[in-house]
Amino acid sequence: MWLAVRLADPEARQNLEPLAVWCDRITPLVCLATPDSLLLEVRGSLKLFGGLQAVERELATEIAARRFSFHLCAAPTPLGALWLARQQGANVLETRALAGKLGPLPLPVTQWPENILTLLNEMGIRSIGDCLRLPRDGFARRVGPRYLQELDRALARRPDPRVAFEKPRNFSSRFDFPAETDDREVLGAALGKMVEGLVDRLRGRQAQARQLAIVLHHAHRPPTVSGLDLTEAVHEADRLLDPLLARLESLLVPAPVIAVGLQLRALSPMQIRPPALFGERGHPAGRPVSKAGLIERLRGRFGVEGVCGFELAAEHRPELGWTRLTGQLLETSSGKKDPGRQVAKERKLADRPLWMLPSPLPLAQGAARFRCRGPLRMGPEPERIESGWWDGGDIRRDYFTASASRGEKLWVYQDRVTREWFLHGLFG
Amino acid sequence: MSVDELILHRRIWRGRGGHAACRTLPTGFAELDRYLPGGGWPRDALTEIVPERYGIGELSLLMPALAFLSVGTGNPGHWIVWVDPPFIPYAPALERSGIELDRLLLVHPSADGNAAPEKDRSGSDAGHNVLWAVEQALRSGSCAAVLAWLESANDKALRRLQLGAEENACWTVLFRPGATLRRSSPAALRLRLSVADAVIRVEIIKCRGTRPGTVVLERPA
Repeated sequence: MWLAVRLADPEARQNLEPLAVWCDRITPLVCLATPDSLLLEVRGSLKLFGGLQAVERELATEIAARRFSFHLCAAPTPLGALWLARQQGANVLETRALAGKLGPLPLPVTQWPENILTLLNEMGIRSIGDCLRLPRDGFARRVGPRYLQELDRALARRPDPRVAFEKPRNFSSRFDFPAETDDREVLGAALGKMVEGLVDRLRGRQAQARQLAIVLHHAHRPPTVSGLDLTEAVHEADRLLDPLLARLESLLVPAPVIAVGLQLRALSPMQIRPPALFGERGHPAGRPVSKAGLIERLRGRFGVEGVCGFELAAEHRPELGWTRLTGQLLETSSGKKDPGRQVAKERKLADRPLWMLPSPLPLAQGAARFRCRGPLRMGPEPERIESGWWDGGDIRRDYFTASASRGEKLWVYQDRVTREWFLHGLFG
Repeated sequence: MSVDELILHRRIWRGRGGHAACRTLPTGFAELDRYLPGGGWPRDALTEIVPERYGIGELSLLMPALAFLSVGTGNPGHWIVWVDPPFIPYAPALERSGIELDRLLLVHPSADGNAAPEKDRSGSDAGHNVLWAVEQALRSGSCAAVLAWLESANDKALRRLQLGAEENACWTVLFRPGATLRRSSPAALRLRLSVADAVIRVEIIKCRGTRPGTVVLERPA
């Protein structure tokens, strides 16, 4: 059973492809019948939706929401449905009735080439029924075997296999504003609209977004592009929109915007974890708790570098004793631990300050910065760290725990080569 | 609502020792536990800490509680979020204090290359970003604790944080500069830390459910 969707308005017909993407939720087999129609194979969907009328209602609601004028028609063959839709005919549900219903249709519904239609017209043949009454071999010889085959396909005398519409892999959407704007609410609303399209696309491909980009087009300068990596691949509209809006809010917009674009840069196959029977681990306010949601939102605003985790490294040099973990924050928390980490963990951890300076400060400068006055009392035993001669990061240091006169505890070292003193950390 | 229920309500002030009902988190310091109502840090409220200087043990004061939270399994939250610390929290030292590192999340609101760089330099905007990050962390419901270093914030913003902490049962600690002590704050607990010889003086400026006072703690090694 095929359902033809014909858009009446020639202007609206450039929207056939987006509509075809949407129709994917009704049936997996959607075909473009250029220039004006879509063909949907709906036999398998009738039971799911509860009858042809329900399918038609579903379609009609969506197409009406897109403000297109259209006509729907169902028939057992794709060509039959298409031709009937072009003439705004009624549904034909049985193959036996096809010939009778198609017969009265005028020939232009077939959209055969102009010379063929003229030829048939000059022969006094005005309708499909007239064609069917001609001798088959004569029709094939004088008009062309191709057109005879088309008639056969329309009447289900010959199989009519169709190629499904190939949904585009990537997603790129653009929204043009009627006038230049720098109102972030307007931009946000446009993004919201585009995210809906993106969600449709993702659903159609059974995929989740991993990487997005916002593009702000300006009138007289190159567009502002801001990429957004998602911690966890997502396909839900609100979880996509949240980080996008946060990013938009923090984005510096150098000039008024004439159009905003949304691009999907990377996707991954959809993986849906079934929800736990009693919900996720309980939250007092009764809302679901998402560990990744927070990271996404923060990253949306502060960028990937702005949010990180910690990891130990098996390394004696204090600066390299840890690494910033920016990539897969969640995967490490699921118990996957690399060997270096384990080694570092098993090593007996020496006393280290809780605060580390980003880079060692010369001691005088450091003392001035932290307003430590008076002499420092050095701890008894220095800890000697000499390492890294093999990779160019050679250090030779004697570390001391020092107490300042006003009670701060500092971690200082003397460079064994230059004999200079440095401040490296604070016992916070 | 019976009188018994009413009397247990957090907003009814019952003087010293009347607040057994509020949820607390053991501090790991016996003297401090004895002083604070409920025997520990107020678990779902705002705590403000004003250290005299950096490096006087302001972090080690929190370590036992953070270690408890990070290994605990009964917490609704997962993350322990550090927003805009002034230096690098050194992972080996944290590990040594018994904290599970994979629960930690470090947020640097001004480290973004993508966002407006020149905007972030101005103090108020950086503070705005810190507030935003803290609020998101509280609202997400996925955090066990939030530590934030906040220079300036108005009363309204702090009140919002206090409400967020209350609703989401998230231990929220703000480190504030000394000048903020002159102004009132909606925080449930306000402390000033100073140090002398080998002890930390914890001055309790304000505490829901008990009176201001001073606790002297051994400085942890």
